Amino acid sequence: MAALAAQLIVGCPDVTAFAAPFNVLVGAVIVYVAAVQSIRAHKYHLANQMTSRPVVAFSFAAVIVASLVIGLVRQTTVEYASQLTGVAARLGLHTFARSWIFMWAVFWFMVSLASAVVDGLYRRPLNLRNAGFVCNHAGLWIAVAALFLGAADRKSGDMSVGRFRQSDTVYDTAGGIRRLPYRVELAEAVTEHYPSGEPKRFAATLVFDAVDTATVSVNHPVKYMGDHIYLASVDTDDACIVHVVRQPWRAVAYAGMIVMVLGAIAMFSLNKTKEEKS
Amino acid sequence: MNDVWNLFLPFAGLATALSLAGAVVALLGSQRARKAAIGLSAAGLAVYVAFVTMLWLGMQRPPLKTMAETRLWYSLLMSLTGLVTFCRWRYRWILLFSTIMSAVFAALVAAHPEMSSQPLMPALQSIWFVPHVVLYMFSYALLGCSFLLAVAGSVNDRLDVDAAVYGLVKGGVALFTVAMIMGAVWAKQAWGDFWTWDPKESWAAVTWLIYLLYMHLHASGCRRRKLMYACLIVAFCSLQMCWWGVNLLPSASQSVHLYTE
Repeated sequence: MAALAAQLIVGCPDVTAFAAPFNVLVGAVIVYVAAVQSIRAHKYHLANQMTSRPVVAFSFAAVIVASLVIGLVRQTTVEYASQLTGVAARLGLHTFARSWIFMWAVFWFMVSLASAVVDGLYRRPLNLRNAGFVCNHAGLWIAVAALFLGAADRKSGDMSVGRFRQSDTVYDTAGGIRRLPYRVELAEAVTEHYPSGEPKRFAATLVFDAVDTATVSVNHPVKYMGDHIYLASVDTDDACIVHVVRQPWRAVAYAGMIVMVLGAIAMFSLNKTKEEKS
Repeated sequence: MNDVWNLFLPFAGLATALSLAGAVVALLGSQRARKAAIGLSAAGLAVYVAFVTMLWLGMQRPPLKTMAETRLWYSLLMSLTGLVTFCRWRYRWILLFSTIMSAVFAALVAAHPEMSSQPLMPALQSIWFVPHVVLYMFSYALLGCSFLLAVAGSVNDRLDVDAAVYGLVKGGVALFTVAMIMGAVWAKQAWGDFWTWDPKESWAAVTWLIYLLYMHLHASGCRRRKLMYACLIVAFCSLQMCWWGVNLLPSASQSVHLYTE
């Protein structure tokens, strides 16, 4: 209800307001809440509410419904959505992934996931299979945290790059500007086509600070001074658009995915112990 | 259109006929009939595999680009999944259902070929392309088979299919998860984002979460069998939306996944 009220009163929040260290703090609060809940439940021999079937089912239902809204309602940019009127616009349905309601659903899901991890550590017997359970859930939590909480620290935008012209200005979709600490110039743009006329390969050779050279093509970005540079389009032989992304939580997301998969393998490939079966 | 493609009807017809013969023999139920059913179904599958291999070689690219090409894989993998389920859990009727489902998808391919000799566009030239799509198709087939069992279990209360359904969902969700992670890694390489809440991604998330909900209900010892089967039927509907239904929605008009059309 608080999320709904916040959405109706203030509208979709500015994601950059949650940048570090705020998002790190939110992650720590989720873990703390989950840990305290679980340990208390263990201590007082109460059913752990956060990992009980109804609460877990509710956590799933919340993110399922939230994802369903995005799957059904056409999503737009925040700028365009701000001009829309009506109930759907007030509820933030057109930019739902940035709405308070969606954030609440993912937050609740993360608390539930963290509770499962803490519960697995405290309550379940110490064996490889349960280590898999903990890793699987912790990995998913880390991946979701990297993508959801880390989104506030992500910077991205497009930059026009041309021959005999050095660029250092990236424009994001909201019209914001980011000045890069380096300059980029186009050395060569390549477009190849199949005999049928279908595009075969797009590539651009970029020169950084008039010194370093790298070729960027579709599916093959280049990394320079912490930024990942993607080829967005090749306009002419003399100009192209590159997409510049800085995502500090990238490695965390990869780590989460790997831990999740390794945990799932351990969880499902190892049979239940006799103790658990009984 | 590729020359090999013109051979689709004879190959698919032969494969379906062999699988159907196997399915009918399986209904007899004896040990000898079981072995004969496995042999006939395996022969049908081999014919299908031979065609897909020839098509791959003839096209000089993996036949995984258009909707019809993914339906072709689904039809093939549904036959495989039905055979594996029959061998593992010995439901006499499963081969018949899986063969019918496989034949329906083969008929859809024949009715809407969408086969093109177009080569792969730059965005699809990635090492993730083949494993991402094939794993998804395999998971769709496993989850499709679990759907058939769930429907059978819903209709017939005396039929105990819980173990088979859970086994198939477990395998299907595992492949679905790996395919989804591969897609996220590929998206990061291609566009700079792991996840953009594109309509197709959103429906994939919905599908994945509903199957996970089923698995959690099962793991927590939920005994409401009808509710569990209903959950799987809804999940399968969501899977169909994720695969092709999403393209019919207005929200998909700006999807970055439209190149699969």
